[in-house]
Amino acid sequence: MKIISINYKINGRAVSRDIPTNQMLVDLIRNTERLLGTKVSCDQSVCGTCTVLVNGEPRTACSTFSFEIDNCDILTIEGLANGDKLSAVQEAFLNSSAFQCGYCTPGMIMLATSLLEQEANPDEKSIRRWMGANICRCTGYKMIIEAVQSVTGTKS
Amino acid sequence: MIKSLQIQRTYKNIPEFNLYKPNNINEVSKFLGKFGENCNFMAGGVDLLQDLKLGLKIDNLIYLKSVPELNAIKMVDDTIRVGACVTHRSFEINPIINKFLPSLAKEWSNVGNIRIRVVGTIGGNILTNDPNYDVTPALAALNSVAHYSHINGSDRIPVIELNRKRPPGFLTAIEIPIRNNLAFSMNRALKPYVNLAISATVDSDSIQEIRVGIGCAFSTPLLIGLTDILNISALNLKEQVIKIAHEFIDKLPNPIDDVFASASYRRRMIGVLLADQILFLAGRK
Repeated sequence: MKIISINYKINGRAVSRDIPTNQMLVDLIRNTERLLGTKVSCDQSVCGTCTVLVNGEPRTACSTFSFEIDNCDILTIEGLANGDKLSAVQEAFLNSSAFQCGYCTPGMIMLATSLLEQEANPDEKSIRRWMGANICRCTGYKMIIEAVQSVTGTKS
Repeated sequence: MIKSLQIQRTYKNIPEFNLYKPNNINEVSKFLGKFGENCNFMAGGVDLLQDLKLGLKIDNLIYLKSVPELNAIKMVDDTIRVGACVTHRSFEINPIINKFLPSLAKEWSNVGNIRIRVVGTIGGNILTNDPNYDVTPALAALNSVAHYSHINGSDRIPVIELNRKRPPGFLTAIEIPIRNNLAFSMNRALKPYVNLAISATVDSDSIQEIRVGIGCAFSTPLLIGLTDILNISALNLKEQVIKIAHEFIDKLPNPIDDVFASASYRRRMIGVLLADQILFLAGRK
């Protein structure tokens, strides 16, 4: 097995690991870190269910090699809440019932979090364009958009 | 049982490989010299990863994101030099691109989606040579030149010709020449049937030096220059432009004819987009 050493922070915790060169980030997160909130669906970088933040940018963990996160800061859905206190985006999704089956929800919340980190007050068009990167097969898009708007205070 | 299934989904086809992280272009060149054709380069990996999942086997992967020179955008005299590994997102929000080519930056905010834009690179988009991709027609219309390193040295090759001519190697940068009164417009609304980019010199009286980059419609992107000089204030400008567009599409080779669109539809839409874009640059839209 061809192994390399990487260092990263995941949800604020510094980690050093030896990993196979061909390992995918989602396997590192789920199988090694045992953080099961990050889901896999299409496995082709299309649906966005496995979205996590790498240095604040939304990345598809199913199509990112683990070696790419060397010296990076990784944030998964488990890293958003502060103890029992949910993040503003998590709270908004809950209050807006922005999920049905819930499978896309971790990816959607991470995607929305990255938007709000880069743009404090996005208008509806910007929210739709950004959030359009991920797919909800239950088609609960209206509530998802409303949840993001409620965080920014632009919900009509 | 569950663990084995989890491993199978992404490890299934991706082989183990030797990973190298060069720190500068010289080191990249040394790896190319050492491994020759058995050398695979990756920056964003958008297409490479899918190819690997579909069974592509590689032995040596050179990871280019560790090379700062390949990831920068800078102004060199009258040219914007874009490192090959600059992502679509960096390109879209870069101050130099926004200053000199605001319409290109604006259009780039619509390429792919944000997850793709933060990973996919300008160079990768060109080298993948997918006729549906956007960089080649856009940068070809802007008369851009690629800097390409290979085993025997390096060449400057017009972007439109790069994939026809290149030996095994890697792209280092793309140069976009900037001139006074340079105008650019791109319409991607009819993807995947056709997309069309044009650049021109536009002043208060005329529009000229029109260069047209066409994607999606042919097996490889096309670049065609127009010699017409149009008087912007002419009362019959629209009629002139429509005539030029008709003559333009009559001279084109046969477009792709597939389940998405017939060849005749694509040809017609090229004409529509061309007329639309010229009138837009002339301030008539």
